Amino acid sequence: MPGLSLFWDRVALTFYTLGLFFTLAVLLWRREHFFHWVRRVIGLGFLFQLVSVVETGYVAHHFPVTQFSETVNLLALLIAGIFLLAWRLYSPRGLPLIIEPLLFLLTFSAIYGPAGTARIGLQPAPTGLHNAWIYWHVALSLLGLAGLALAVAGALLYLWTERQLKHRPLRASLARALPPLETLDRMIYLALLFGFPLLTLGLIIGFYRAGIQWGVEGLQDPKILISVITWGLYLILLFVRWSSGWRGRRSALIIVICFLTAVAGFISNSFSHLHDFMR
Amino acid sequence: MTLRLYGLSHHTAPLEIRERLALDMEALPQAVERLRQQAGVAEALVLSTCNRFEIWMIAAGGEEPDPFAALEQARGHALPRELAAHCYERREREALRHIFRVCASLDSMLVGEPQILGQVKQAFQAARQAGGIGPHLELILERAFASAKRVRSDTTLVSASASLSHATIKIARGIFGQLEARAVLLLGTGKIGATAARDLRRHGAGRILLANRTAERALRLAQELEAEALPWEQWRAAAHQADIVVNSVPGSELQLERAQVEHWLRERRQRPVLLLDLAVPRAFENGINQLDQAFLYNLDDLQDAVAANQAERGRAAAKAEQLIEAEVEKFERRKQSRDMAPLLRALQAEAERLRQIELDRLRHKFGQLTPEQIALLDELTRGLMRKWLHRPLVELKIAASGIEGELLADFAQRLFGLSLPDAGEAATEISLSAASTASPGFEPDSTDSDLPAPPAPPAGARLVR
Repeated sequence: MPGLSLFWDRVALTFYTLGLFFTLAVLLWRREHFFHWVRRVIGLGFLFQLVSVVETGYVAHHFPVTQFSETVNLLALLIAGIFLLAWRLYSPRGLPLIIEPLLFLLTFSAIYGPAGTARIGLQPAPTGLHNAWIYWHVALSLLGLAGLALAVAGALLYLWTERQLKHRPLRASLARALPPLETLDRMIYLALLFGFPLLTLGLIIGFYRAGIQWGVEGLQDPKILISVITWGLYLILLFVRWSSGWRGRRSALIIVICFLTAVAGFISNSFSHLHDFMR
Repeated sequence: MTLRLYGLSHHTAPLEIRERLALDMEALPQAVERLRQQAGVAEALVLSTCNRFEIWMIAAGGEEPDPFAALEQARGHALPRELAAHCYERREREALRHIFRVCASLDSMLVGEPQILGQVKQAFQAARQAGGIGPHLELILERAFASAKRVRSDTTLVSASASLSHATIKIARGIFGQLEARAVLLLGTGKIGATAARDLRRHGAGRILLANRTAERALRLAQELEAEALPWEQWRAAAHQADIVVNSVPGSELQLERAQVEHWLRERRQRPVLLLDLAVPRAFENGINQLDQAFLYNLDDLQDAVAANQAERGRAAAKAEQLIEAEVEKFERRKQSRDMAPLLRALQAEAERLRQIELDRLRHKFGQLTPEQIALLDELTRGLMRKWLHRPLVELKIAASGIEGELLADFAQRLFGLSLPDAGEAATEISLSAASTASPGFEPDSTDSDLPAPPAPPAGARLVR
């Protein structure tokens, strides 16, 4: 057993599960004030997950990103943190509808998934991973992904709100529970601006390390190719926004595609010989 | 004389049908004139708003006007017969209730919206100008306006309403969040559009640009709204600056195409734009709503945006319905009571006539009488007559407000040998507004001394010997 960290993770999961119920209450009974309760339980979940990550790192004597479960756990923690920050800035009421299930799924799979901490426990870092560059590569990439996750949550909400506003007849009562389109647009843009440089930096570090360790051949890894596609889409997204003000539905759709490629990149750990420690 | 109403509204016809019938305010007097040429129509009013096209008529002369033909007459040309499926007809009390409800905004698309009363008043003026308003419609509308005013003051219907402006603000907030520093372009000086612009300003909208074909009206409204008036030819060039475009210029005078909005969006760097087409017929192409970042709403679309206030509005509307029902009831009773007036007057006149005949017949038998004696005799006979008449008059007045009124009136006519002119003629003869002020003596609780002095018989009244 990985000690107390698993316990803290389970406590965090309990709060995220509670959050799921509040989210359902919002959906079923249109109780908008439950959004605030969702935010509160996510806050508590975040705290316990933070304790879990710190303890894992402390016990294992390395940054806890050397296993799938640790990485997923850290990703959930970062997404929860960025969500809480976004809530403080914009209070986007509908955002928990998307973020909450995502947090639940990530934390659940970190604990009970095929390579979850509940099954394998804490293990020492694989050889070759005791390198600060790798930790920076993973941490920055995950932060970039967390930014992208917030952007995609905002984008989905945007598409939903836009559909409500364009739908005839108007569904005014539901639209009331959602944040205004321009607020969502600003939040999405900020999340993209936050995530892009971090992801870029994370990828550059990754390329640099892969180049040193495996040469040009290492760069032909499927995960690296998918990551480059993700990054390319990210870049296009920001470029068209800067150049011609692209936003709205089209932009939201590209963010969703971009996120899907990022998820594919995550899954591609199974085929990547460079990231086989993450299986 | 019967009150009849025929037409269609947002309840029965979609916007596509309603906009085919809609008439400008300027065209209403001609419509009333045409309608009056229809056989059997004594008085007429044409109400044409964004949400309804109705003809209100007083039918007379025993001839029943064909309502669809009357509708065609009002519109000035033949209409497809399938339109009749969207139309409704109301008569007498139902028609009366409908008119009261329309004026009180209970039948509006956005229940409680305040514009409808002004629109009915304008239609009333147009009908009056065309000679369509007689004593019946005048009286009905006078009461309907007063009832609408009561609904406004005694209920929260208008304040809780989901007025057009309320819906506008709600949608604008759904897109922009805060409205501070948002620019508004107002096209036309129509009342609905101006109200929407005024409300947007009240909720923080920064700059308002205003364009109208008639520069004079634009300048007047611009001054009131603290807006910038644009020459009509320039509004398309300036439109990309506006976050919200409110239009009240009908589609017959203005057309906005999708390509034009696409161009604006490029100039705006794809920032969203809200387009409110409040005109009938619609002026903005439907396809605009399919554009990314363009949100187009017409009058029908706004109906659903007001659902949020439904509960409070529902309560206020229920109270307003009760109030209107009571007003309709009161009106009906007053009407019946007023209809009894010619009979009461005829009865008093007949008694006075008989008294004079008897006095003249017997005067020479008394010999020489002093003026004091003549006055005494006059007082004696008059007093007897009044005592005799008191009970029948009071009973008739009381019965007038009940369901047995008509029956008793017939009975009294037969009993006293009176013949009255047609109710409509009587109503015409006795100015209705005058009748209402001259009627305190006819209140059921009046005493003997309240009874009116015996008048001369009504012009149309005939006494049966």
